Amino acid sequence: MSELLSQESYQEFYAESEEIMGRVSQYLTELDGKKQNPNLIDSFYRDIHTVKGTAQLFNFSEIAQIAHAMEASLEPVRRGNLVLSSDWIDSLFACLDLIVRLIKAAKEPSQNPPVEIVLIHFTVSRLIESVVRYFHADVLVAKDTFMTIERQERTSEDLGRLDQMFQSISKNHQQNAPLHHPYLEEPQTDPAIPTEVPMSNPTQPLPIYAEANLTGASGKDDANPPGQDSNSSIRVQVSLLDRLMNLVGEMVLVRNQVLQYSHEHEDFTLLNLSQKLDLVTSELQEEVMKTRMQPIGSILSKFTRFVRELARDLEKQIEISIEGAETELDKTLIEAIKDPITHIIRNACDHGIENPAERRQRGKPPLGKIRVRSQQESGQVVIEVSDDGKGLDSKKLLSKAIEKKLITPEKGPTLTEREIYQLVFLPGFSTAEHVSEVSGRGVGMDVVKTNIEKIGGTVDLKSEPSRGTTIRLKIPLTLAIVPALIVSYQESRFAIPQVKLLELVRVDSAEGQYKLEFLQGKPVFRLRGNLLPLVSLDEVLKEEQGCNLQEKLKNQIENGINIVVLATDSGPFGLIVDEILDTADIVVKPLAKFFKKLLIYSGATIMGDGSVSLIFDVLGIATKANLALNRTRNQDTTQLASHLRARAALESQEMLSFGLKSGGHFSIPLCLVQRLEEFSQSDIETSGNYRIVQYRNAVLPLISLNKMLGFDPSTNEGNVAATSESQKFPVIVVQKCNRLFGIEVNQIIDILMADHEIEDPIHDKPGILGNMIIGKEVSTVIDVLGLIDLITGSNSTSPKKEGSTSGSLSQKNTESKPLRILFAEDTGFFVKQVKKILLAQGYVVTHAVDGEEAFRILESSQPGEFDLVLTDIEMPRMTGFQLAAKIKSIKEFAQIPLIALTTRVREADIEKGKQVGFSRYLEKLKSDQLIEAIQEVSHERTSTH
Amino acid sequence: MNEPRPTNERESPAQDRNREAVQFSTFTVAGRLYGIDVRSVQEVTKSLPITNVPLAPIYIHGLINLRGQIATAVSLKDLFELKEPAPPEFMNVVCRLDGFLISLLVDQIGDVIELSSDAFEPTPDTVSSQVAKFMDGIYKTPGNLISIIDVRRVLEVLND
Repeated sequence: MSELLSQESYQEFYAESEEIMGRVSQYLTELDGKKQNPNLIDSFYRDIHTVKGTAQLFNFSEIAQIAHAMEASLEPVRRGNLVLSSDWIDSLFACLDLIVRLIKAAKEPSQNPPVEIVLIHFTVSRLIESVVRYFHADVLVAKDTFMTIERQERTSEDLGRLDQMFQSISKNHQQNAPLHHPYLEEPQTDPAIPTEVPMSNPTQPLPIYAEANLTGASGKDDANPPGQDSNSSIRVQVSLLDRLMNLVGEMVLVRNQVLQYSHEHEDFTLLNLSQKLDLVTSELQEEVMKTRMQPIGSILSKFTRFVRELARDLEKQIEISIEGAETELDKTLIEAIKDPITHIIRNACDHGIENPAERRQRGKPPLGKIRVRSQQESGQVVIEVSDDGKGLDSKKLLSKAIEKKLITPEKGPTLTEREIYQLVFLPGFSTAEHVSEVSGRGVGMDVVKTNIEKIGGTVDLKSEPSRGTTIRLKIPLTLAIVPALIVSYQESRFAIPQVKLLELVRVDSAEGQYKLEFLQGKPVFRLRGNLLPLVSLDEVLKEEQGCNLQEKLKNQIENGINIVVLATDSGPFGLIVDEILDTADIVVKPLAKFFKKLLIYSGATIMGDGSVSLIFDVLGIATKANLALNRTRNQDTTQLASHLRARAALESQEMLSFGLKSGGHFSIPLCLVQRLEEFSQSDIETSGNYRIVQYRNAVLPLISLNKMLGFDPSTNEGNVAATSESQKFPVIVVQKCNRLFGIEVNQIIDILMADHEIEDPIHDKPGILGNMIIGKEVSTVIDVLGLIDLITGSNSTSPKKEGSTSGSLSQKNTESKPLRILFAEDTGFFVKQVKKILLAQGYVVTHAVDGEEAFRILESSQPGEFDLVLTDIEMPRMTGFQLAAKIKSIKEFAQIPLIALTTRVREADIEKGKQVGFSRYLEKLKSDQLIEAIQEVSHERTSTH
Repeated sequence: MNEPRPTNERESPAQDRNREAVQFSTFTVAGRLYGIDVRSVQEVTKSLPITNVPLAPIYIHGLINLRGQIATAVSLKDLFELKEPAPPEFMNVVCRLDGFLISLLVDQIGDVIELSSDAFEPTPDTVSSQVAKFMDGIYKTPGNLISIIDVRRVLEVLND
């Protein structure tokens, strides 16, 4: 018979059988754990019958045997409105698997090993046993049948005996059990049947009934299973659909060209026709896209079984519910998300949901729930997998990330909860062998993230301790056509996929002067208070550097600068483009392999006018501009960035420059400035000797620099107030010792980078540190903190005394070996100031940019190499407190005296400083106090020796 | 040069048969004559608008829209590192390889000629290595020597 059948009809058989198997396993999934659904049983029965019939026709006797066994075992169920036991369903699943394997082995013998006959026997006998157990039937009958099959007597008689056996078993049951219900009876009125279900596994008490009650009857149970009417659908090769898709893509391009042409020419007929063409093409495109769409349920439904089996293996009780299974996605995308979702669900079962005992302890129902929801949301499909398990333990995550050296210990406390959760996506965060040791959930989550991002999607994770974890995937509907933003740069046009687009910002000269700044020659933009790093296409496409760019942007700002704000893992960045042209649906054409090396392109597209445009790879651009280092190098970017910033701050210093009555430039280090405010004269009140304004529910004392420095001869404030009641004046808000002070100035000029030191320092004039070249101008640097001291009258040391003390001290110094000081400070301005003071005393100074570097230097030093450690408190990576604690914890360094030098001089801080082991806690820019303290401390030390 | 080399004589008859009546598309680059197996050539077109690809190596002139498909334009002159001035317009020899289109930019298109394997010789050692690495060998014709370019080798260099 088989000779008469062509190869083609065999292929047809394989395809159909596989399709049926897929459908049937879905029915089975739905039958599992729910009340009886006669329609489903019928469909199941019919399909299995079809498989049996065709398998016989094509001479696949093993498949026919298994199908027959399944069919026969379902016969009593079909007639008797029974609820299948989970044991029974498992064995049915096993049969299905076997059939699928047999089909595969027949279809591609080279790739699939033949199925062993023993396995078939085993599987079929397992089915029989489960049925027998269900009906409390005589096991001997089953054994007999089992033996028969083992002897491979597969005759039709044999099958008949099997049928008889099932018949007799069920009849036997019907007689003995009074609780049998007729076919059409309402399933809900049948409370007792589940109690009749014999449990093969005592650890799973009554799962079927319990689940049925908990889920409630979902309306879907009664719906007709899909794919019933075989005449209304045909089977089409995927490659044909792919070709159709490509052709439609071409057509969209032609349509675009026609549209563009018709708009350029005033031909109404043409315009009319082209608009019709536009409509038809759009519709065609949509419909053709639909042919490739598959309901996401085709993969999600598999998870029901997957979770079932996993739960059994893990000895947990887990129920999975799926919502929005009808949401449709492009076929290729469905394939692409299968593995990531499997991974997420496995994680949820393995690490998310606790075992029943643990759940009871926490007052949760023993049955854990995983919910998978999918829905369309603004052109994307959102898939949410949530569990009600224990959630992520941020402390454990953190300690693990530190242990894996993904972040430094000091960084830990600064991370927000959300940032900590994101750590699970870092490559190398977790490895398979650590799964059970750590409660963390990040088993290969980086792979999930990479795979989802590969198809243009995004992953997000939320978690609440002991409440559960939710992972959200956003997937584009299709890959072939994507919405994009078209931008221009010089003569070229580029497309940016809109998935990565956050917003568009246009900066013109008015606001740009304040918001667009340069940090180390790199442009940054203040976007609603946050610093947005900017990347210019000049930099990316021409690999141009620094100052050139600064000039260019300054010129460009007159005409306005267009910034495209784009999302990356390490935060948003702004891409400066020449012009923003349009948005368009573009057809993505893959580029040859070698373009991948350039990093910045993800493909190309053909524009309406027929020209080719490149599509930017947003992550690639970020990488090219050194914005996204962590993905490739396994490093914590923020760490690196802060380190780079610290280094940068040393090389030059940001100064706030302002004008006073006398004319000329004045400046203070920007790091001392809290805010810039404007007040009008009418806001001012007087309190004792102070002029104050109310500011943020507190009193802000004002200090007039003009008055302090003697530039304002008419010191009568009333006068000023009278002349300009409503006029606003700028105030620089400075913090000192936890108090705010307002510095009145005439105008704020700019924030400038100063890469020079203070020239000719002035000591005799209070309030002035010296002059400095900032930009091209000479600026007088104001000693704000000193001035505040003068006004508040605190710790004022007379300037006269200073000269004598320091003189005598330095003399003392030269007599013995020079004092060697390790100095940690991250702010360039203070580094220079303090170093100068120390060097003038003849001390040897080694500088570190932060606590961590200081510790490293100390660690690698010879014993006794440093006589003293002088450190700032607030530094990136490792603070002064942490540094002190660390030094004190190591025996050979514990004796080294520590001095803190800081702007943070609150009682609590001083107290804390003492606790961690600082000998002195000093305020910055008090040279005489500093020298005195150093002197005293080093004396104390030598005298104790 | 006119005497057949011993290597030629030693070539197996099978190879000879394979080489029999192979047709080559010929073209010139910087005044020199080159040939390419006609079976790897999809089409030859006049100059087409090129979209520049920033950051690409100099010999990749950019991308071409070939009736809705995108071809990568590779200038042979730049690939061979020839210093001659570029012509005002390039011709495209479009080749399809591994599903991708590569358009070789050449100065002038010549005839398609049929060459027999007797006329084949391996690339002489004296040929500049920058050209030789893309060559299969040369064919002798009356009055001309045709350097045979292997597109696959061009692709290999691009992918490197």
